[in-house]
Amino acid sequence: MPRVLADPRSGCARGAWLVVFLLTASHAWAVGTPAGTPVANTATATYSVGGSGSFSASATTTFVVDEIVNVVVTLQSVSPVSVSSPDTNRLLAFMVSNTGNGSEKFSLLLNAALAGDQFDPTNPRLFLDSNATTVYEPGVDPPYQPGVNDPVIPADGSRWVFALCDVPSALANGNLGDASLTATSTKGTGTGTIIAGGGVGGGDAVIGASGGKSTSLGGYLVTNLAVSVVKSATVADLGGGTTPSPGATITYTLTVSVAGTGSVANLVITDPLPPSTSYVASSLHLNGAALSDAADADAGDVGGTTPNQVTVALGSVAGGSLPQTITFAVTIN
Amino acid sequence: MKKSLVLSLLLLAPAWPVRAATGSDSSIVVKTIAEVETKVDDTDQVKREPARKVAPGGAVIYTISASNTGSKPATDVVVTDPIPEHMDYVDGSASSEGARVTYSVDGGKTFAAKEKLQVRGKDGMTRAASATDFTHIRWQFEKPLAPGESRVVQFRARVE
Repeated sequence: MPRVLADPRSGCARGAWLVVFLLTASHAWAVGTPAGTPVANTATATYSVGGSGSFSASATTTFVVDEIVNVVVTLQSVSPVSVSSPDTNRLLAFMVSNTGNGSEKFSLLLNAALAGDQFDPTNPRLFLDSNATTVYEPGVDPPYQPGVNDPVIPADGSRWVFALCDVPSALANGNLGDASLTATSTKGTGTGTIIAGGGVGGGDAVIGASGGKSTSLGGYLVTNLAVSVVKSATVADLGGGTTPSPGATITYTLTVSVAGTGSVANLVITDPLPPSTSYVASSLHLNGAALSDAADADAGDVGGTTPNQVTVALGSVAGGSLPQTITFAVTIN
Repeated sequence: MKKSLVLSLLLLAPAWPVRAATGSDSSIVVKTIAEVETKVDDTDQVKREPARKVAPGGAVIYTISASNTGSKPATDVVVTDPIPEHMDYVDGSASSEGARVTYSVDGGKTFAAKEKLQVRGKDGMTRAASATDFTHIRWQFEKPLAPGESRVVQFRARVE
């Protein structure tokens, strides 16, 4: 049987979404001096009395730098993520950045029940990047439990958060389901709110321009990408008939189709040669054009990539594009 | 860096005849206060309060007074204040009445008028200094400070 190696998850992103992603991906830096920093000042004077110099210094005045609470959430996945219907455990990665000047604890909320889209992703779950790999590791990155393991992020620091959702069945291609992650400072919200004495080192905590919370949106796009390969054979025996007898030539045709929206990347079709047959040299064709038998610059080879196997790399194939045909011939031993 | 001058001056201090400690012929007492302006409720009026906690971006008003508590006039009175660490001088905020104001961009080693100061940028090129480059402000009083007289200078700086 022909085998299909492909990555149906790598659907192409819609242009507008990609632009949004690029614009928001730039890192926002924290504001200024670390919270709790004492700022001291001492003035001095020099002067002369009767020709001899003197020096005086003032007492030192000191104040403490308040804590500014600011946060930015940015989507890290290329959105929308291409999904099938139904689908499970589809990832949207977010980065929560503390752009304030003190360490903050944030509560997280993943909202998959948003308006303005065609479906609501189901079973929303959040996981915290436990080891700064920025890659979701099942079983390693712990599930987020509100109020239990709210992430504490240092000033200027960031933490990756992984959202996993399922996709309901029976959705049409092109349907979009949004999910958003909101990070909220546990110190408070509302720009300008002052939490007296709530800052590091005895200063106040002041909710900054972000209002103490930030939301970023990601989406899932139903593409239902499916690759199908139909194999057919014609036999030509030595007597001009179609009997599969020794010496007869069998010509195989593989018709490769991709259905759905988006495209599959790195689509590779492989087909082992049938036992008790011999490959007919130079018989490999792709869409009517001859391919060399050797594993080289062209798309296919016979026995070069894998012994006794036809391998044709079709690359990126768009859903709904014209079927591609691969033909090759063998003789029966 | 900004503290270095204060420290060095303090170390140098014993080289001067320190009369402030003796309280004899003349002594100048220097006082500095740091204040912030806050709005009075919902009005346009502002009031000043001692700065105890200031948020980044917040402005602090430093007021330095020099009082001659001695019995003889003090001449060549020079008041120096470092721009505190973590703060940027607010351009044009230094009071200049009765004093020549100069600035330092090298931690208080040298002082000059604002327009004559230059710094070397990250690209290696020298450029005119801006207010945020200043490390110290110096006021040279034009007139002697008579016994019992006080003079006040002021500047603003913003928390980085």
